[in-house]
Amino acid sequence: MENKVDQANKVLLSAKLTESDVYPVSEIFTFHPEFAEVSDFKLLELNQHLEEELEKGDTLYINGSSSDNTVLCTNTNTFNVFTAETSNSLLISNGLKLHNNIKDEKEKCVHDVTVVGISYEYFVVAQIKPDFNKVKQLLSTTVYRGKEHEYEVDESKLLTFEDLWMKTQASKEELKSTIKDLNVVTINNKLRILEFEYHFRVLSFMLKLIDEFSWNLEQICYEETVNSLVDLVPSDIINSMFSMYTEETKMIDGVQLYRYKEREVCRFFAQVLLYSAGKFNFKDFMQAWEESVPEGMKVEENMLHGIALINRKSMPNVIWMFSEFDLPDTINDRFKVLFEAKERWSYEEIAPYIARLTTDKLDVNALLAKHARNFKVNDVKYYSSKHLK
Amino acid sequence: MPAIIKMPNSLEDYAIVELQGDIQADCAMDGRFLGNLFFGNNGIPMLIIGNHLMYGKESKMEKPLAMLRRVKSDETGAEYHVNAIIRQKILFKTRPKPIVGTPGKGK
Repeated sequence: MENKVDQANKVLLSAKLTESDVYPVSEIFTFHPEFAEVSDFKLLELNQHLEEELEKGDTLYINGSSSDNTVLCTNTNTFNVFTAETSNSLLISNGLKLHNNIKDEKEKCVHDVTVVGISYEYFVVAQIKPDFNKVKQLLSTTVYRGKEHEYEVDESKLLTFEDLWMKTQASKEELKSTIKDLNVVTINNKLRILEFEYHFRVLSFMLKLIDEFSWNLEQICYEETVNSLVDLVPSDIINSMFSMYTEETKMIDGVQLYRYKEREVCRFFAQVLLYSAGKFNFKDFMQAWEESVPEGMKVEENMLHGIALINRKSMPNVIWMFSEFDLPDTINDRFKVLFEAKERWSYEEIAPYIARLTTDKLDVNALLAKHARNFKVNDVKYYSSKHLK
Repeated sequence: MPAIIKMPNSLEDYAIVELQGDIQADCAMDGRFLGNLFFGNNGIPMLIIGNHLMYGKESKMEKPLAMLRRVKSDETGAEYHVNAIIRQKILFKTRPKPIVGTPGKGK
């Protein structure tokens, strides 16, 4: 068999080059002996996040059933997967040495490089936000209305977190935060959305204890809350609701005490009033709202951002429920609905309605710059539709 | 069907040689010789395939490519392992220069 060095020299000569024109080390390319088999691989372009995840040793997931697009998830992010094609051919080569690897070698020799595949395409990813409506839809068939209604629920539709994750194309962390936003509670390991009235009932029970025990608002006791309500509400629900609505304050005699989150409680009570009301006279609403919240809590208009809209041009001014949860998940559709509901928005007003659609690359400001027109009135910046009516 | 992509403990060493156009063969490629790569004294890579000479350029890829191999596939899903993370390539983007007048028998 012909010596590889001789063969390389012959090739060099045929190209009218001499050994003195090139480095002593050269490489010889051969297709793998089982080329057809070894060429069965896929190429995935890695962005910085994917690369870091893999280097940490974390697993990537391709999830979701019956969907026409492929979605790739890490623990924290979700990506759409596309195929990128190239008109060039990519020779996937094992053992290839670059100039740096060979430049110091003085001995004449030939390295073997094995080509295991020729590729004309690879997968690329683009970050997306998970399909939030699908999560809501999956959980809304098993809404929890109270113990006495449990027989009405189809048990086969109950989902654990893992079940839900397998059915949604989303990273675990994003799914967890979505579930939190939906006020989902875990009962017997199954995820449940609480029916609005039931939610209201339990929260009212909890808040009534403040009066009953004459608690200081900064000194709410978890144990007493659970013990007092144990006959009325399953402990799983009290636990979830307690962590939803309270935060730690201080320890007294070794007992951790809590306070109710004013903003969360007030926002819920605003929704209770608006829930079945349609349009509400704004002045009447503010008064009714103020009276509905526990004593010592103070309602503020900015608490309504993301849940209600106010029309200040009508006489009298009116307010109505406008929940972020009911908006479309696609950016264009969402902006369309927003500008139909209200012609111009301040930043504080519109931000809660688009925050969910932001990604690492597109924050609220970037979304507004892309999808809205801004202008100033009395030094206040407003946003309106790009398309004039 | 769900699939997972796992990172093994060790990776193989792969790089890409990117050619303009395509490589055609009229028979199976298994085990066949393809060509020779030399580095000119100026460090420029030169690839000779058949009677074509190409000048190339080394580059670090802007985004690396993970090479994935399927290690398992059944009704429960598929599993891929990362075989290599490819970060370097030599790009030959100029038209191949034909080598003419080959001096018959060397040596």
